[in-house]
Amino acid sequence: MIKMIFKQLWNQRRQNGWILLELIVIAFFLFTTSAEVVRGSIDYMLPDGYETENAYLIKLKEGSKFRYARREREIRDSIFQSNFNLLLLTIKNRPEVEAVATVRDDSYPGSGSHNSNGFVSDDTASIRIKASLYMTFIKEGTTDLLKVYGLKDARTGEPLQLAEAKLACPQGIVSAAFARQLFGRTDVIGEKVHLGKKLPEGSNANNYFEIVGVYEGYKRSNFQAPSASTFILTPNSYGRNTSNHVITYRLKKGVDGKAFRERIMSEIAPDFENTPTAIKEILSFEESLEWFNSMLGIYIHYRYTAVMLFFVLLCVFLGMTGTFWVRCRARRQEIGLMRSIGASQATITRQFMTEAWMLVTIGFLIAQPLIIHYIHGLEWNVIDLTAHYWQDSKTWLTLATDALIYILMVLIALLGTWFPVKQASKDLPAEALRDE
Amino acid sequence: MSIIKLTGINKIYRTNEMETQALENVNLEVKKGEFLSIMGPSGCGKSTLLNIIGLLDKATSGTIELCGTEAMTLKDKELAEFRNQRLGFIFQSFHLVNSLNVIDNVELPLLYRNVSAGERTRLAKEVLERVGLSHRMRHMPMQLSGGQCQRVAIARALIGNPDIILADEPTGNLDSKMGAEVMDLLRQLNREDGRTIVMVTHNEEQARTTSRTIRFFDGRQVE
Repeated sequence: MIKMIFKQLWNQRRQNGWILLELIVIAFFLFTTSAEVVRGSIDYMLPDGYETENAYLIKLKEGSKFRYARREREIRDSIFQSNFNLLLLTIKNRPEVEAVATVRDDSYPGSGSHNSNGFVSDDTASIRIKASLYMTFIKEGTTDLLKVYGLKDARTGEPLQLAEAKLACPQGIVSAAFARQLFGRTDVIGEKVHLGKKLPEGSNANNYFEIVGVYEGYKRSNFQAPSASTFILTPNSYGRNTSNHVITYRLKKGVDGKAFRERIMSEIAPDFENTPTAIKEILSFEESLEWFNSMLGIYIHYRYTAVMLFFVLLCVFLGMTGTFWVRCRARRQEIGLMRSIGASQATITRQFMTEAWMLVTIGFLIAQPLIIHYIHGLEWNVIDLTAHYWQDSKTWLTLATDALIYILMVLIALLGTWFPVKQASKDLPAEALRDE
Repeated sequence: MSIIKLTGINKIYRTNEMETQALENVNLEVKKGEFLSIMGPSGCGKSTLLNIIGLLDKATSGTIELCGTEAMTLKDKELAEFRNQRLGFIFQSFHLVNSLNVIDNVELPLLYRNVSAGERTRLAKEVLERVGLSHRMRHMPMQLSGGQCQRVAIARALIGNPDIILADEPTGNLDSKMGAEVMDLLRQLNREDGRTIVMVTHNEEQARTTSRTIRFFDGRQVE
């Protein structure tokens, strides 16, 4: 049957040529509009790497009266530290709070700042990767980043627990992607990682850190794939500037986050108003991500892409179903003949559906060089930090998008064929044969 | 023994405005091996009758028995099988599939019978040889004359080895020479293979060469 259909398609190549041309344009058009949607959707579906529910962050500012005193350099640092620690403890000691953590201003979900760095491992110095660098300031017995963020162990999926440190240097936790890129494996507890480049032994003890945990990917935005990243756990604050510090906290289950936020603003914030650690605003992780996505124009971009895709799909649907519909109706007489020589309704439907499938497949295959040319010429809008996910590979993304548009095209063609063929094959053969 | 038996066949075409009685109480028996011609003026119901015999159209009432089978009760799949295995059609306008060459057109009925490709080709070559078109097997229908097209249609009707051949004005679109050739072929099939043939024709001369002629007027059998 397939051989016969192929012969028929070939013998009518001139008429089918127009349909094939339409299918090639459709395949190319569909690919160009859906490739990014495919990638974006896969990125979105990847786990965030943190739990946004009940998690909040407090942004700080310098109180207005403190500005006059900040020139006093000697006292500035100690005033900042004492106020910062006091605010941290005040939040931590509230009964509604489960855990607090202090991080650098680029180290929370949805932060507008971003820092990336080069890293080398201790024994494979030739391999150098670029990864997002996050910083958390450990206040012994007070802060708990793992609990506030809800970081998960990459190997077990359970809440991450820090391994015991063996080296006299800062500790850090790395993402699974970081570990895979630098070491080729995720079992890297106890390994030493150098920032920037490996310096001679003893030259700078803070230039490297020991890995004490491996977490699942951590997303900067929930619409982006997680980058290879690391959190360096340091007891020292990064600089003395208020804008570099953020306090994050997780509330106990069942606590009303909004009410608690209002309580902080009315009960705690006034006490710190004239200090270097005045409370600027409190955001939930969701709000922070929302802000970040809006700032990057992600929502507008996806809305625009979705509208475009909708119109493309509508045009493709109408165009393709129309073509296949007309094609079937035009062959009503042939259907009558087929029935008169012994084809059942099911056989005719099957034959026409196979024919539609073959046409789509041929058109789709012919469109492939165009698609490959397009994807290779495309300026790839990914930073190399996230290039370890399969959807960031042009080859894999092409295959995934191709599979999707092929299924779509086949479904539309089959739908556009099924109705008219079913209708035409139900007609009495004598009537169909009279059709001119 | 009757191979075709029609009893009380009526066919009424209904539209919103009117009803047209195309056939009225037709009773007909055709014996196995008979060559029956149906004659009558245009619009008298000859082709409608042939279509009903060939199960291409439905009678409004009456019963049809073909090869001992009550045909009115057959379901779509059974009908398809019956047409494929027991009936062969020859149409005035040939009804060849223009996108297939001669041999593929001839093979079509066997395709629906799931005969292997090799066997299909062998049988198609055999029947094309018989209708004198073995040298045109790879030609497209558009490259053939009317007479040759009708021979292809005859070959297609023959390939399934049917019990009954139904021909609707098979020479209607042909000149007299080609028409005569086609008639010779049909007579040969009837005489040598003993095939039952029912043919609609306007041509008195051709009708005289068949074993029996019936005449229709305004949907009624008059002779």
